[in-house]
Amino acid sequence: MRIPFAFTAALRLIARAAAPVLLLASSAGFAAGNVVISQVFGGGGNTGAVYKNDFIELFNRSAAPVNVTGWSVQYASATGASWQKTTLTGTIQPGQYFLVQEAAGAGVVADLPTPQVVGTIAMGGAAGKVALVNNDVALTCGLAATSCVGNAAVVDFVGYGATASNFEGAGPTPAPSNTNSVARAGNGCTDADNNAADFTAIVTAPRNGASPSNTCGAVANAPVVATCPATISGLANTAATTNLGATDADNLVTSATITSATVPGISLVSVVPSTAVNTALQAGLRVNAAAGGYTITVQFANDATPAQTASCTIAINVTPPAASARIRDIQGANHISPLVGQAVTNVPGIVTGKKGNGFYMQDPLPDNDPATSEGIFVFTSTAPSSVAIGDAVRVSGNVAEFRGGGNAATNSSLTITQIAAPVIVVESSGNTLPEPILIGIGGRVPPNQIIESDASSGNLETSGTFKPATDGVDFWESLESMRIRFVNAVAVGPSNDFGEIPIIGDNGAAATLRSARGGIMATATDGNPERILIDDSLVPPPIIPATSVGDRFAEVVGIVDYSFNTYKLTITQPLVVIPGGIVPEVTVAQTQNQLAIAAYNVENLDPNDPPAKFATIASQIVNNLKTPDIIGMTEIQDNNGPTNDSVVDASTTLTTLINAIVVAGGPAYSFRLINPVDDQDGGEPGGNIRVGYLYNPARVTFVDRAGGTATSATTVTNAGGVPVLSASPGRIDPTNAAFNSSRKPLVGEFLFNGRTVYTIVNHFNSKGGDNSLMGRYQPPVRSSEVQRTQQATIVANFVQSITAIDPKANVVVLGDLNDYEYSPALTILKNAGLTDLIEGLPENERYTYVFEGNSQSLDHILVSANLMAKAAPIYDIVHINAEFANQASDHDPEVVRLTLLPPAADITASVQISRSGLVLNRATGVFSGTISVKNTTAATINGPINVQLRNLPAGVTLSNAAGSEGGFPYVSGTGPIVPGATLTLPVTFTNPARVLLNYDVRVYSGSF
Amino acid sequence: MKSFIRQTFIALAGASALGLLSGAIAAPVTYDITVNTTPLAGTTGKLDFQLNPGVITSPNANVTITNFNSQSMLQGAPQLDGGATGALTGSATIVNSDGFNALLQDVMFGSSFSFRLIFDGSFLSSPSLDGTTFSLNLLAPLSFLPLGLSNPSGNFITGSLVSGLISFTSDAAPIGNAGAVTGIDAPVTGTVPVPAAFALVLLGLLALRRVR
Repeated sequence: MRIPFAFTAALRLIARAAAPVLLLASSAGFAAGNVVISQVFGGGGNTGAVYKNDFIELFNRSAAPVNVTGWSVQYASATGASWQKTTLTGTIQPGQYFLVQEAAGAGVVADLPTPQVVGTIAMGGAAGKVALVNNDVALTCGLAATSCVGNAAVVDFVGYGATASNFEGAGPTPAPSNTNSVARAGNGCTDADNNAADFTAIVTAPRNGASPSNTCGAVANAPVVATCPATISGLANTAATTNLGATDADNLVTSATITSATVPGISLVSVVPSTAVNTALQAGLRVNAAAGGYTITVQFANDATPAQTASCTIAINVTPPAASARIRDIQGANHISPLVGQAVTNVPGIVTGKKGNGFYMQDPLPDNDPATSEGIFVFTSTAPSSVAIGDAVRVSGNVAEFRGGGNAATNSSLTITQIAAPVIVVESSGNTLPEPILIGIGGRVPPNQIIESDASSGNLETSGTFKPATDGVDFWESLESMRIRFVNAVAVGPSNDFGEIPIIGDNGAAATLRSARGGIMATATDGNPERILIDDSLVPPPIIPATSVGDRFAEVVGIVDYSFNTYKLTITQPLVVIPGGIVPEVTVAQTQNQLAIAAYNVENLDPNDPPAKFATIASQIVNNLKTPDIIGMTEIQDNNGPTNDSVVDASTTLTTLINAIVVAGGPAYSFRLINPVDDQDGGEPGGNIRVGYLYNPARVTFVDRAGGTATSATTVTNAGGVPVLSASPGRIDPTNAAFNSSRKPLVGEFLFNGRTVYTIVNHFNSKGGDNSLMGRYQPPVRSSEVQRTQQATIVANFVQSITAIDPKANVVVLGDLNDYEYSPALTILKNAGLTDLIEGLPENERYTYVFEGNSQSLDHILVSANLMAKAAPIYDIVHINAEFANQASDHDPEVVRLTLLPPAADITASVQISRSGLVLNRATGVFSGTISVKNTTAATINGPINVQLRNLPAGVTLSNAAGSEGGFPYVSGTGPIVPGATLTLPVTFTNPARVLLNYDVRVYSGSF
Repeated sequence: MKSFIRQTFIALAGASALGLLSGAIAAPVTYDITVNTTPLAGTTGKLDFQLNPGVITSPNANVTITNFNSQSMLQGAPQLDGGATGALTGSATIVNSDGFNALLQDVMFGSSFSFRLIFDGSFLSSPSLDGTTFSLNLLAPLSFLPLGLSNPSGNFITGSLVSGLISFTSDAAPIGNAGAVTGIDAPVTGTVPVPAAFALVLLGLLALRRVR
């Protein structure tokens, strides 16, 4: 219950004037001029005291100013009656304090706030008596018999400490101390004339006239009082609730509202309005926000009309949760994460790219160690719809190494380090992506030769040192899942159907052994680790433009990935092609006496292919290959292509091509082949690919020898020094296990200019199953070599079965041998007396195929020793496919032109032969002379002219012989010899015994 | 090699300034030859005279070397091989009887030397196309490398003897030719009429004089 002010003041005046005893018993009363002692402190300057002076604090608890000039405050000891006084002056405003400073103690401590009056009374620290007197006359009361309480001059009286002899009410105040004063409750308002109840001991807190005023009894229409913390701290994205409240002394607090800008993750929860006056509304401030600093204002309102409100402002500081590891810690300086299989939490990163089953993120705060990648793939299994590029995220999950194709030991693929089963928290969006690392000049330069140098166990994941500065796979691994950038990139392979383009940087400035057309050569010792494949695997997939070798890009930006056994650059911005301008090559047409033999893998040609493919290949044969006389074809499919039935015949396939060649302006080729047994020769299922011959019957004759079947092995017999095939065309050892699921070699016998040429067209088993160049097994194991070596051995033996009968046999081995000129298979063939013509080309021209940017030789033409010696082979790889985005086949064809003149004719009877005398060069020991051949006929004798010397004496050698035929040396001249003309040829002899020479001469027109 | 003389039998001598004819009278044929060796003067070397058949069926041929006018340049006795006899101090003869027939004479070169060649033998009347070759080379004293040649596989003087015909060629380097070891700049002398064009080509290489 509230007592009206005027009423209570009246009661107090009456009580004080008429009945002190009543006053003691009355409740607190207020009257104008009602000034009270509100605080007493006597420990000033004592040990432990905060202030160095004693003081007496007065307070005007009334609603009117009180002039205290002429009044005094007086002090007497606890048990004494000798009063010291300090005269006052001034006016105390309603609610104002009035500080009277007294004597200082010995301690050097803080000064009091500026006092209104300064006195010198040394007051008792633990007990004493203080009076406010309305005059300046020292009191004489204060003992039990002469109580000052009720003295008309005493406005207020306080006995403090237990030993005080006089006090108001039931007892003195609690004892003050050096640290505590005694203060009147209600900040001075409470006055029940009972020192024991009205005062409490508090930490000394002097108030002066400048202190906030205190209006006693102003309780009407009390405000809403909010209770909020000034600050809240928490972890990002970690829910925490802080209690808020508000009370109202005369109303119910009914609502709490956030009036500041909405912050995701910050809200009020569990708002419970107050149910009674002066009880609190309770609410929770729930914070589950991203890292950052926020300022929230909460407004409380009561049920008054109009409603009263109170607001509080709260500073919220949300800090990121501690990451258990950074990305670089997960990646480590190795191919396998040091944390694989372990859980990681709150790994920070910026989302840099999205795929269909996860996303890449990269640490925006990298360290200075280039060996440890700052990027990683987060595997979400399905499309990661909860994140966007530029999001700052924290990811928790399990570290895993993903190996495409599975973890079988036969799989040489490297792994991608990833965070699996992720819990993803997006902290913010629209962040700038980490700057891509420049690859090449001015940035990180990739190794250009060594892929892996020291995987001693053969597995770089379990051995060797991680050396990104020198080893190619380590270099790219150190950038795995990071953003990188190339400038002046050049394509070293064409774009393909997988959306890939192999490139190198800086226009290939640091690359070794470039082809003249812009590619880069793979050699036995250089796998070109500076290559990387542009890829389109991000979502949404970028457009990969049609690109050919030598085309360039001013800039390529993307993320380093690894898939399908090699490193990829998954581009993040569109490509702009700068054409390099390569055009399909055209070979030189053969001359009359040149036999042109080509090898062409036509990549699964079948009648279901678009007519354009037939037309393109036909045009290539006519216009680029200049209608070779013989074409060894590989990858000819049967008449219904990959339809997997029992059809094996390929006559429609070849007839379609032959007709297209005619349409393109070429000759009417014929063909020879042997159909395979269904599904026994490997390749595209159902396609029954095989090898075969196209030949131009106007230029060459195919010598048919019946008997060749899919399973019969062709043999070679000796017919008077002439090798005779048991079948032509005929397969070579087709049932040998070396040809399981592989194409069988096909031998054919041709006649050109009266000369026999044996050709063997091949399509050795592919490189499937080999370890990848950029794989975990180093150096890569090429398991497919085993079968090719077996196949090569069989073919080599067959060739030798021919050359053993006739060392001068013309043998050509050609086709897609699926291996390099330095491979074991080719070495076997070369050891059989064959010459691989590709080795006659400059090293940077030895390629028929481009695999992932590596230009390399898979197709070969090898010739026997006689052809090398006599036929002046001119070999040409015609680059029309492998380097181009638009290609009829993935292989380039190759052509050899062999000069095969008609066999030599003995024209001795048609010429006159003259043998000159000889002169010995004493310095060299060689006799020199001439043999002259005069055409005595009326017809021109065609060259070349070969003059054979038969039956030279023992010990005599024709030292300038061009060759030997039938065991006799000969010298050669070009010819022709017109009628009556003479051809004179020099002859030189070594004749150590200087014997008289005696020999016969035979003259031949034409080559031996 | 430059073919500069093709001489006929005596009976037809003078029938052609170019000496392109052949005859049937088998009488000896004589030539006087002068060689200018000014660039070699004062150096030692060898004179290598050879007369070798091409084959065993080459008709008989012989050559007599006389009138060697620079006796002072000759040093010691000659080395004789096969059918070679005599000496340059008097008269030497080489017969094509063996596979190798030669006279090798050490010399101290002067500014020039001259000598007479007298060819004889059945080749003069034989139709056989198997020939014999006369040759003269100037050799370095130790290495036996030919001196003064424009064609290192040729000879200083080559005389082809076949079917009654004698034809001379020379691979001697022209005087003053860069790199030439020697040269001969004497004018053509002798009685054999040498075509003017040939003379110019020879640059005064040497002079042959056919003597009846």
